[in-house]
Amino acid sequence: MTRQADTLHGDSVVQGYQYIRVSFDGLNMLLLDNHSHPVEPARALSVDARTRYSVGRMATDKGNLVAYCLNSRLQLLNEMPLSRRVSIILPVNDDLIAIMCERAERIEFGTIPKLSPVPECMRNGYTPVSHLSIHDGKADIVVHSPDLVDHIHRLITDDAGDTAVRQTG
Amino acid sequence: MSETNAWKLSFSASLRAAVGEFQLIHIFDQPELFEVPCTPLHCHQVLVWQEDVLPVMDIDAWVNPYQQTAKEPFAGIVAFQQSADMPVQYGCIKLIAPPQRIRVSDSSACEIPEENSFWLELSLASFRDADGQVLMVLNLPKLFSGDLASIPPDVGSL
Repeated sequence: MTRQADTLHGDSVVQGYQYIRVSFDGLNMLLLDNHSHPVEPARALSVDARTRYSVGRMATDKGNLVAYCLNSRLQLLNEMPLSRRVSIILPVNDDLIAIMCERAERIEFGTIPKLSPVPECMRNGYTPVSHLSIHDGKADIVVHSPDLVDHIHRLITDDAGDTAVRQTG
Repeated sequence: MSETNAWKLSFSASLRAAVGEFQLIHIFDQPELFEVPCTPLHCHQVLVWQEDVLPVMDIDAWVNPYQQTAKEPFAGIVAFQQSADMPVQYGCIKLIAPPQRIRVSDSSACEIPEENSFWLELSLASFRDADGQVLMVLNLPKLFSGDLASIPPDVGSL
């Protein structure tokens, strides 16, 4: 996938993207993609279907989607905190998954935030975080939604044990 | 003999260093810091300052990565340049106390003690302060260059 942000250096304002700001576990994340992704209430979650890596399956009009929950370190949980009341639906190949969040809001194009690269001194090998941004005086991490999906896939395939958190929190 | 002003910075009860008078430009008492995941332990937070997002360096966490330290109440914003023709950059350093203004003279210069060899990577010079304690002069461009993640400190030497 070609991403406009990859061609930019230094501070940048990325045009042509859809922005969704999601919050969970004290983390604010600006998800960007060149496609719009649905935000849905976190209802009808079947926790019986949870696995080592997922918190269950969520019934939507698009099917019974595997639901994932991340903590502030972007590690997978297998128990969903009660505060996760909304989900964002992301594509994975020909399938869809749900990421459970506390809040999710679309940011309109009139308020495209300035994006700054992650400082060199904060880089430590692989990270799905591409930029940092400021929203209402607070720092957001910026993640391309395909990179978030790749990150979850990476956690699951890299596991087993180190990256998956067995308990909520 | 020339003298100059500097700031003595405390990163833990036993870990201190100095920066030049004009390198320290702002102090925060209990600033709001924001976590950034998938980052090194010594630099995993940012601070929002003047419409910019600054990395927050925890030197104590770099030197003592296996010791959980209490939350530092202060943060100092420092200014530096990677080279003379480069723009001024800003970074933030966690502190456990307000900075202390000190005087430094040429005659106070000294060698970096062998037991503090981990500072070699991060310091430009060293000197003895009025209390006789050896203080390193922080190499700020190096500190914020990203090299720290690949430099293991000599923890055993502390």
